[in-house]
Amino acid sequence: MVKLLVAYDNTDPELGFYFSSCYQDICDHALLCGDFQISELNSLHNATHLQSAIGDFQAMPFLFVAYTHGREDAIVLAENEIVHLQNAYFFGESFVYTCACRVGKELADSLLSHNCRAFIGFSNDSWLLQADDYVATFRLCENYGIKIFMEGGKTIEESFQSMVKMYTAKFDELVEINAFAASTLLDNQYALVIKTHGNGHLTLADFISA
Amino acid sequence: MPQLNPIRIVIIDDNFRETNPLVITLKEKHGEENVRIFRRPDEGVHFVLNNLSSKIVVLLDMDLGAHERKGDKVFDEIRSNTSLVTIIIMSANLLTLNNETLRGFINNHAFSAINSNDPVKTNLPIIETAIDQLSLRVDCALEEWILHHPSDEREKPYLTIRTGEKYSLDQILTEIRLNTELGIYLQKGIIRVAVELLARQKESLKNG
Repeated sequence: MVKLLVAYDNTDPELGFYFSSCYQDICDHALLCGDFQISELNSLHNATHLQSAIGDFQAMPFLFVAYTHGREDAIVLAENEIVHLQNAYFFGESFVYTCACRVGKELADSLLSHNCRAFIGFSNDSWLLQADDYVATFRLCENYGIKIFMEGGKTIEESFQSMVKMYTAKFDELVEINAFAASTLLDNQYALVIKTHGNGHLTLADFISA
Repeated sequence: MPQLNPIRIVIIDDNFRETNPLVITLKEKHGEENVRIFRRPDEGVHFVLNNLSSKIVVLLDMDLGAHERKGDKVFDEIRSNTSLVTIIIMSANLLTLNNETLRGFINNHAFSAINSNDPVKTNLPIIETAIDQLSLRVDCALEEWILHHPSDEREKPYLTIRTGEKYSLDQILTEIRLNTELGIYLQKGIIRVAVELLARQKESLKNG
């Protein structure tokens, strides 16, 4: 059993629909992949709920995925800072994966200094051009790394590299159709960061708990 | 490749004549039909705003006669509609321009200021440099690319941004012309795409 905690801002006026679709996508994938125990935090929840959810894991390893807005020092769920420098220590033995803007800077460093095993996210503003047809492309790219990792065959580092390759492949497709949309995808790709403190070799097997 | 639009040079000045040596030289270089003189500012502005699909350099006289608006007002009128037209300020006496007017020109990217009494050999290189700059600007290249699409295609929704607002190519063009946050973001994006594609090409040449 792998514990998977997902936070998503389903009521955000601009991106709620997108965050919700990412959440659905990851849940569907977890079902396909097998043995996951999914816990959910949505826009009704705050940092106390997060603490309680992680407390239930009883110090076992877990995956944390966030589809929310973000800042350099916080992951923000419906205007509540749910992950910040003061509660980063909750994330020992976790793998944090997020599409939130800018979190890959100060907060990622703080998480890793508190024994978070690995972080994948964005170091800058991540943009989304909805252009209807392209939403699926952006979601595919943003979720690709964690989905590959959940399948169990690849390490954290290999999953990240697969995601970068997917961004490149989708950029090549998009640039033929809409150069502005392609530029935004490229912008997001450039903002991707992975931080592992030497844990890049870990696989899903390292996150299995009772 | 689309046919590049010619450069148009628009002179808004109540004293310029077709026989002015600068006009003759510019017409020789850029074609008779591409150099236009307007004695009345309204006509000049009207022409500029109706020909935004062309690359335009405007030579704008500051003193347009007793019954006309001052040149700085004409400058503002053009700039409030587009940041893509290059404007060269002209005056017989540049020293008479007050500080506030000068500040407005600099802040809104007047390209240069020339003395209309100076000889052609002094003023022509400045105008030619303005023309070269216009060809190098990514916003102008984008404008040209957008305007190359048929007008019905330009009106269709093309991009939706994260606020949910939809933009057609024509609206994107307006954002670029007015140098809005989105316009600047899109221009930067296109530069990134160009650099990325060039880098890939270099990589494939190396590997091939």
